Amino acid sequence: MILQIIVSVLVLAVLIKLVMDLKKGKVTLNKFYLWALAWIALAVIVFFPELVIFIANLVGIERARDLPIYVSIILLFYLLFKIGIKIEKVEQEITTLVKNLAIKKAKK
Amino acid sequence: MKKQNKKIWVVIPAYNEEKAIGSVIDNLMKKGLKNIIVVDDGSSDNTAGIAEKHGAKVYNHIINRGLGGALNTGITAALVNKADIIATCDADGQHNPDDVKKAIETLTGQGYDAVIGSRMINSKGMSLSRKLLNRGANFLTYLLFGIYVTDTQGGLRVFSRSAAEKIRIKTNRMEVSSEIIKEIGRNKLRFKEIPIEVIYTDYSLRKGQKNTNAFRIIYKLILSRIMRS
Repeated sequence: MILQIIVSVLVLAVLIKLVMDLKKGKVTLNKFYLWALAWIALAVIVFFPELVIFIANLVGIERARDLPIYVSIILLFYLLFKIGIKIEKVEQEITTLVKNLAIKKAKK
Repeated sequence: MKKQNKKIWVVIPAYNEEKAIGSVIDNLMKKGLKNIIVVDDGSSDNTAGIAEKHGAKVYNHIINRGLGGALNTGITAALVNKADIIATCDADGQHNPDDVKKAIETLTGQGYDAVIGSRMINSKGMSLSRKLLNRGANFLTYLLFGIYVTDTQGGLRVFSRSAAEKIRIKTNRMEVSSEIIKEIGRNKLRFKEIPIEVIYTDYSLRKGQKNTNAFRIIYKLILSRIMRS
């Protein structure tokens, strides 16, 4: 019961902060949905742990404890891929900068 | 041969090439290619100084960005300098200036948008592992971009102005060579490959691409296909 209360407070605090960030324009709507969903899912799982077993069985994982590990690995791969694409973009932007500097300097 | 008054610029991307760049410029000038742009890609040696002394117009990258970045700067610079025809060649002296001229003449004489020098049509002097890697790169380029050329990795190319304006270079490093092929395909440019001679000296071999670079290039190409921008 204590765990449930702690998690509920935590999730509520995070959600409030998310809404505030959204209003200030600090996070995009897409990111807001993603994070809000993730945190709400956490709260739901804390209150109904059987749900994990149900989902695990649904996707064919025998031991329910393995589910979070699978999910985290998939998530990590996804994040890594996104970061890779982001770095690529930043590199391209740096190149554009360096190029424009070179051409500007030579003109003078 | 009728000589039109077309403005030709030769673009040479260079990174730490102070030993070779001077003679590369001299040899091109001897063949009448007087407008030369050297993009010094953040070299730590005196590449820029030597290139300037030999009469090239030098553009400096304040930090090293790789072959793709340097080519991009060079081609843009040539366009700024009102080039009608833009040629690119390597700074290590592996290209014969006669081949550069021949490529330019093929473009003007036969009305192509792009001409690419291929080391594979006549591939004497190339090691077997390098030949195989080239074949692999060609096949992959075909799979990903639907255009087959015998040499996707060569540095000798000639573009008409309108072709150079259409080609968008996004990748920074060695994979730019395949990207240019992709752009030729995407823009449906009329292009031709001509056989060129490669002068493989110890120097150019040491400076060139390592075979292991192939894996990086493959990864990047697939990524660019996924991003599909």
